[in-house]
Amino acid sequence: MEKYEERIIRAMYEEGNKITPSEALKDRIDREINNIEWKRMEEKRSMRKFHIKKFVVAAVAACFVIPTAVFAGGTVTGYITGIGGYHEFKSYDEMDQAKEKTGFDFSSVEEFSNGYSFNNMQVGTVDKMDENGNRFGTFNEWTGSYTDESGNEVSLYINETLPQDETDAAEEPHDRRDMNGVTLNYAENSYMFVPADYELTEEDKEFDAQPHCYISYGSDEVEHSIFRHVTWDKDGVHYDLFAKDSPLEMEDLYEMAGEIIGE
Amino acid sequence: MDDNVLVEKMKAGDKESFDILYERYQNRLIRTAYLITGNYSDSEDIVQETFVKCYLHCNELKNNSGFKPWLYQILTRTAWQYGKKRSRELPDEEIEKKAERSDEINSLDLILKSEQSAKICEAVRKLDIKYRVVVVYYYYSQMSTKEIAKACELREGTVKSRLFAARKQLKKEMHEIMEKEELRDGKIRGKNHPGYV
Repeated sequence: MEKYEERIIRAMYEEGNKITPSEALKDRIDREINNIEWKRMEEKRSMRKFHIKKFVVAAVAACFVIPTAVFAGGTVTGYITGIGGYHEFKSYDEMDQAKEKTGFDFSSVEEFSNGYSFNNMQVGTVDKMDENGNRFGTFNEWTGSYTDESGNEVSLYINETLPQDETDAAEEPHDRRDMNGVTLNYAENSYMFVPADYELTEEDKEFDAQPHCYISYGSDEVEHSIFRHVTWDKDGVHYDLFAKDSPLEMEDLYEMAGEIIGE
Repeated sequence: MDDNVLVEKMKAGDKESFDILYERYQNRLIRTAYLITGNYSDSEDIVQETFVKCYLHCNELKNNSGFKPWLYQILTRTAWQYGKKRSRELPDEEIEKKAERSDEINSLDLILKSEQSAKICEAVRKLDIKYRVVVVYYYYSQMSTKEIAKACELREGTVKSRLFAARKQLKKEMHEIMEKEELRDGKIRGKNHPGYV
């Protein structure tokens, strides 16, 4: 190594070693990670609970920061949120461990006959919130993601059936049918996501007044989405098969639900 | 604990392992970023983005033993983006920090050496970013050309040719800086020598 190169190294060390990260940097990193993870979870979660009272996402588990985007799907309260104790499993072979974490047994499939196959699963804790946004309990939930060849996704949410007064359906489902002694409910909900400071037009208000139509605050821009669900309860376990802006129609979701029930 | 074990645990969602990896790499990364950008706040942003991506995408890393080059790969891409979009102007806060640091250095010899080091680093920063990154990784991070090739997603031959071109350019500027330095060194040593009148 030539002399000038040695001097470059020395100069870089002298200059570089004066620099240390600020104490706030790690907090910023953690906060950003939490926000991104929270948003990912929330995107799936916040809009799907048609079977639960209209909800407000108001707080998160103590170990996570309050998110900047808060979706409110109505005026009342209900539940939700919290990704404390969150565990992700990439392989379907880890189902036993996932069930152990969830704390109860349930039915699931690795691959559906329409080509949707297992992608990943998570086990997390959901907080129950009262009208004032206070947490009054939690329950464990298993979430599975399935994708087809084109990357379309369908999610399956499973938790132990909650007491009736906490799961009072705000609106009647669009369709209902029996399958092997199990009652399946189908609902199709339209959501309009708007920024926190968005002012509703008359047209928006009319949209919000319709059944199965909701306006949620907290997105970066105005977006519209359609969520289709098939839900059922079996052996004390509640299932919610859910697709967002998906090519899957009602009959497709019923068929997939049937495969889970028959598993 | 070995990096490999920590990476494996981080992949399984263990936040504590991520925290340890952060502790282990934070200084190296911010200093590298600083030498590339010359801007403290940009360096912090780059390191922040690098670690966030590291945690959120760690499952995309197939071979745990490749963690370090993979981490530098993220840093490189991020620094590259910043290098393109940011101007080199130091914010006021940056100037204050530099001033504070200068105050801490109290001997004339150290001040001069520090000034020269700053000039050398400035000469590095004058290089085009594609050369600058390679120079910082090679001389400061002590990475081999093979490791740099991985981190920069280049062929090893390209790394070598960039190093060659960068050296050629630096050598010219270094010659001038070192001449002045040697001259000053000589004067200072002479002045401090017991026999100096």
